Amino acid sequence: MTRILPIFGRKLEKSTLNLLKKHIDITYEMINVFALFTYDVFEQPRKEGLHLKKIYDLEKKADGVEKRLVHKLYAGAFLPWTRGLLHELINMMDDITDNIKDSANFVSYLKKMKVHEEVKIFVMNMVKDSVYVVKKLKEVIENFLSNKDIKMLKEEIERVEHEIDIIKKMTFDDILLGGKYDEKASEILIRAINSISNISDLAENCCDNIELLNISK
Amino acid sequence: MGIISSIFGKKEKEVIELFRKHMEKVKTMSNLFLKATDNVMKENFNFIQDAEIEVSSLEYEADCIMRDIAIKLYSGAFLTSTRGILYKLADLLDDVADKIENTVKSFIYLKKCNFPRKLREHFITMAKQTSECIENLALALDALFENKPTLKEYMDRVYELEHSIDTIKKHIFDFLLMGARIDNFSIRVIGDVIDFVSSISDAVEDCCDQIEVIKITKLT
Repeated sequence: MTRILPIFGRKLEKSTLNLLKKHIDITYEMINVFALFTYDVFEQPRKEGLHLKKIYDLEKKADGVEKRLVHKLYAGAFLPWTRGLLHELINMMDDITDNIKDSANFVSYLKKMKVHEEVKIFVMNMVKDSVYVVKKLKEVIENFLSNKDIKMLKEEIERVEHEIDIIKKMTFDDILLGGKYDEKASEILIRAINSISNISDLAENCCDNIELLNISK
Repeated sequence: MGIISSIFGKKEKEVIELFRKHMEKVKTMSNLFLKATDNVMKENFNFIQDAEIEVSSLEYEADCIMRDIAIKLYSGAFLTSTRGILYKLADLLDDVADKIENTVKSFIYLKKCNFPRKLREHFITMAKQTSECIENLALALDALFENKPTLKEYMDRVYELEHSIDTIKKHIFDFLLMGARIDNFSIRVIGDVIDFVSSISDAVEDCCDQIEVIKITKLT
């Protein structure tokens, strides 16, 4: 953080940036709980309730951090360009937590449905990849704050995001062309899958934003 | 007038007046949205057809005001650093207008839907709370411009209502996707309409976040 501090200022600016770290830590915890939740919905549906509550609690906590972050951002001495980019970044990071919650809501509807093994594997792989993407985004933010390079991590996120898109297409093919699901089940599955794939899209956008912040340094 | 009038000049006052005008337009749209909801429940789809035309024209008028705000801002009203913040608020306010338009326009598709009685109550509550959300946004905006101490109270009410609308939305989806025995076309259309309605309060919440930013920067 030492090199960016002369640009970002001192005390208040440092504590603002530390909140970014706090937010992504909550998001990472959230996505891990979501992965457990999805596994439970598919494999042991009686246990999933606790995880859903935890996801809701963490989303609320992340929301609180976001509000504090915005407050500090505009109270601190950031440059207007940097401030705008940081604000966008915070909004996108918060959209990730919203999407994790939405995904959990839709996945929760799958517990009373007959989901075929292939789709279960596709969904679990998408969730696993999303966990990985958020882990990498967490590293991107840590590197950004300690003024380290993010290029490799960014490329890795882009690669996995593309992989998720491919799985999404295969899952849609299976749901919409396989003839195994009625319209209601297809609707629930498609909403769940779209919501999960949004997580990595947003993480990719966060990286683009951080790259711009790095350039502006 | 509050602090704004004592600090800023003519151009700045004009911008503030345009904001008020824009907000009035959004409030008119919100009233129309509430009436349209009522008429959906009465299955009066002739009203909805007229409302579609009216909401479109109101949105167009709101768009024009938004453009005027942008032109005034970028032709020298306010300091460079605060211009962007105010422009963002205008843009977000315009999003609220867009969302109301999309929502009212989606109502016509409910004509051929089987709308379960149990959902109707939730739907009406959701619409009333959305309208209340917009009322509170208008009050918050006024409190911001007039530097009233009640600003926080109105913003907190918006956050509270948005959360409540989200909860109702979850109940509706629980019922649609898990409980109800209704046809798939209705599930799809009702689900989409509910998404549209909830997007309005999300947009209102975004406006409040931006008002908070303006408050912190002590622009007013």
